[in-house]
Amino acid sequence: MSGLPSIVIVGGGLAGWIAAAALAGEFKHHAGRVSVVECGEDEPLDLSEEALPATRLFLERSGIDEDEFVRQTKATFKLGTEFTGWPAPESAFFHPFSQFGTSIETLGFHQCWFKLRRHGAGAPLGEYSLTAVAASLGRFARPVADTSSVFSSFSYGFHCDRALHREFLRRHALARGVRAIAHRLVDVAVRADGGGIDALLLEGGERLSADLYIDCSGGAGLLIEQALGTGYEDWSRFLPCDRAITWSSPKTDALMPFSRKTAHDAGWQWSVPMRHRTGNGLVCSSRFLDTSDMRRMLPESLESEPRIYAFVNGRRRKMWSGNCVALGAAAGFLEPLEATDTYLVQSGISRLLKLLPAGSPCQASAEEYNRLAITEIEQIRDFLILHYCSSARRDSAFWNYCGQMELPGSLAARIELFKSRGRIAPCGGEAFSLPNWLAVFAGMDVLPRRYHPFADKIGIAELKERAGMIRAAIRQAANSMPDHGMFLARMGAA
Amino acid sequence: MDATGSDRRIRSIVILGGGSAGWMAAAALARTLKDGFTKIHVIESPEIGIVGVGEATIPPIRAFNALLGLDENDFIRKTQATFKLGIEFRNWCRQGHTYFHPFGTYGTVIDRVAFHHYWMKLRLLGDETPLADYSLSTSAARLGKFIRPVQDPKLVLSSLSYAFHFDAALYGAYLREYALARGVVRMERKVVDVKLRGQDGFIEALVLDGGETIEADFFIDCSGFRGVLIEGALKTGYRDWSHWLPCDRAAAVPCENIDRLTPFTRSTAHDAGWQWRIPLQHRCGNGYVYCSKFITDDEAAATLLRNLDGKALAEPRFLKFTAGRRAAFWNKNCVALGLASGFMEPLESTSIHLVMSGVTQLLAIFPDRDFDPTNTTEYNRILITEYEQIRDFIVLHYHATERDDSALWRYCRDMEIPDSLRYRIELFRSNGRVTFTDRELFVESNWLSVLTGQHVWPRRYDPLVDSLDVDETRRRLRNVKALIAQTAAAMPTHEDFIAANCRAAPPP
Repeated sequence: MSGLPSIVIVGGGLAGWIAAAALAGEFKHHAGRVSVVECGEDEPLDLSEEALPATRLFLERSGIDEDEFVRQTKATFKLGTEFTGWPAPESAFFHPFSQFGTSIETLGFHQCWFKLRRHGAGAPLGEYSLTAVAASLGRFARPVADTSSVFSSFSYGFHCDRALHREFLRRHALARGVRAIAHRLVDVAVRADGGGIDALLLEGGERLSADLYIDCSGGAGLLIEQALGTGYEDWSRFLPCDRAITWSSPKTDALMPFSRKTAHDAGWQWSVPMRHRTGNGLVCSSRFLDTSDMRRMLPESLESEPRIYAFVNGRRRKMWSGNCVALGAAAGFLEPLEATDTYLVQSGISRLLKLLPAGSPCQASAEEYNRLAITEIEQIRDFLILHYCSSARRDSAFWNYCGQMELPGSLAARIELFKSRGRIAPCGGEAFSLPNWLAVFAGMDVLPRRYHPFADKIGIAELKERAGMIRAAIRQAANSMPDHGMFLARMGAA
Repeated sequence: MDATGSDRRIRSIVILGGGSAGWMAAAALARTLKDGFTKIHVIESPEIGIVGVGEATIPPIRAFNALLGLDENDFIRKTQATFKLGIEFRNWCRQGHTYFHPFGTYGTVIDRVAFHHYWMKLRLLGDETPLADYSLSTSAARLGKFIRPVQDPKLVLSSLSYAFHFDAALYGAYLREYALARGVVRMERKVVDVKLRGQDGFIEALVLDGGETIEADFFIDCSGFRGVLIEGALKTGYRDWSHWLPCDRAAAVPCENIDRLTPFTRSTAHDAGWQWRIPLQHRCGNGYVYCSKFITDDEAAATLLRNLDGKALAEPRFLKFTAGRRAAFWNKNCVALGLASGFMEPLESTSIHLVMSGVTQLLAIFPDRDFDPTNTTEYNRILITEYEQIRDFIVLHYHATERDDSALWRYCRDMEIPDSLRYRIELFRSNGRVTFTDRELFVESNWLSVLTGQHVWPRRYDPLVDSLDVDETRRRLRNVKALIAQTAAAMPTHEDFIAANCRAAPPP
């Protein structure tokens, strides 16, 4: 008798099928214990067409061939994100998925760079990142494992069509034995003892029970909120955007290996390159811009009718309550500024797999899951807020608000620590680490008051020379990488 | 350099106290600063020819040795060191029971699930193979074998890890020689007074016997329990943990080596505390850590002397302490290291580690003369977290016991424990997992050794284990066990390994 629990996933959107694919990969010949209740036209709306580097590990664990994934989802590779108009209306920076430079005499490169900047020397930080330079040249190659090679210092994610992504994972999970249930959910029976869900009542009268329920029903949270009343923590005072409009435009001739996030008066706009089309989205705060004004910001001729989404940045008070775990927008929502929405589902399901209950869930596992999940989403929240609060823009009511809003204590402390001496404390979550924070701090022109005193052990002339050598080596390495479009064509993804 | 471009670097550092802590700090600073800009002084009291006690360490010491660029074999010869694969705990779980806490890992990850979940499943099915049989370090330690591990994670020999036992006085002397050769200045003097700066209470200078004063930008207090600077001058305060760790005395004595050189530390629980046994090349270090509420000093000394391998080489020396930590380790322009920073009994050999960890963090957050409080706060946050994590691990040994044969053990079994520890034990009981907030010193394999060693059993294992067929699970575990037994058997003995690589000269 297997101790693997029976699991019902509610919601057949991207989140639901990410969860199902991961469970299928781990349950192997017991994958039949996993069912997905699809909701037809009421499927949660998926915003994201970007995936962070952690997706590579997710694919591997789920037993999915990465090349096949790229071919089937019309994907392109993602070396980072270009942020335009964020520090100030006319300035831009690149947030790469890579290290910057290499340590000099055991001192982190960033401390050396702070010293160079203080002396009015050194190039912009992006010049010391292989992926930032490669992205600007439209180049792409996969990193190598040998850590002594400059080609090992980076990672990459993907830009992939949301519907194809969902369809691909769905096929994969079904082929492994996961069951799809086409009957709609009509009601949820809750246990009288407070232990969570008793059963799902489906159209046609079927009553479905399981050891564990995964709520992937989107922002409505059919199980976690509507049935169990878990509550939601609203973060819109820190992240005031609450509307998005998405549309498609023709694919570009040259495929960029990065997405672009352009700030505007009351929010920002994205552009994500795929092989068959370009995904676009406009994100705004309805407090500062009417929906009608938003529509006026769209291009005049559109191939398809734009879709409008309403959201509230924030998180469920508990992501795991009783025998119900919420993933995706049901667990919390963060605008896709740093492409974290698919990441949060992937990391949620892998955390659940680590704490998977045998049979009925235990309280200790739920507490631990919530502790880790809350730590992670709050760190990402802080990272997103940094893009707004550190902007020098004061050209609209929206940016004035962002420049003056109160910050979460955790972020205020992190900013102060950085400003004091350029220190970026390690953070528990895995989504963003030192290079990511550094890219945004430096990109937003937030620089420390002082650098580490050990940077003074190296004379400025020597430092300039060594930084110059690193920069030249990186440029040379980037130039040796193939063109992004060529790379895709060569792997059969035309 | 500050915003105005003026040079605010630390020009001078005074380290007060020349024990292992003081010389570890001096050596690491001399190695890292090495530009001749910062003057480093160590002030130590005149020596009174003390006999070095055996000190046991944990594997991160090797990173510290690497930072200093030490040759490991040379370091072993100079400090009469032996290798350590872990700690044997006798009578902790109950009288007559023994378990081993090894360095290194158990078995191998199968399908991304930690090995011990497979072991727990078979155990619930009646398989009585102890977890220890899946640890190469434990198997080698039992046979008295040692060899250095390899890097390649595909080889079972990569699952071994090690640290050292060494003579603390020789270690101090070894690092002193290292530091002096790199420009550190040693002064054999006593400090009679500490001068504080009027406006902010920072330490300005130390007044030495004879009336001379020595000024510095930055002070490191390695003066031992008294904390001459951190407490005596700066009145930082102390957090008392004796309600969780009631032992408050130790008696220490070296004895002759009789048995073979064991590649492990032994910790034997007695009625009112526990006794350590640390084998060095030239003799064996011993000590009884006890609670003065439950036993007199004379009784403790007698128990200690009754439980030695060979003839005692000196009279027992006594130490008094209060388990706990300084309220802050870095206060104004002073950082406390070693006993000046706090005291936790050496049950898991963390004393040297905490000095090393303090020095390493100090280098990462090295101050300038303006002593930005943000950096000081960050240093304290990191070190306090580490102290508390280690405290929880030590408290676990006392609390998770079946012993009820003496007042100390009854107290420990029934005492209230820190919430952080209770949470961890509950999670382990409920599903066999150990939780971590961030990167911690003691990882899953360490907790697992002590939890299961002291009979804290999980009710369940990871259900993903069930996706592997049970016969296949048995077959794989049998193979792991056989491979480990073969590998351990093929290793040289600890004595032979030392003789071939790092035999110390007999002491004068």
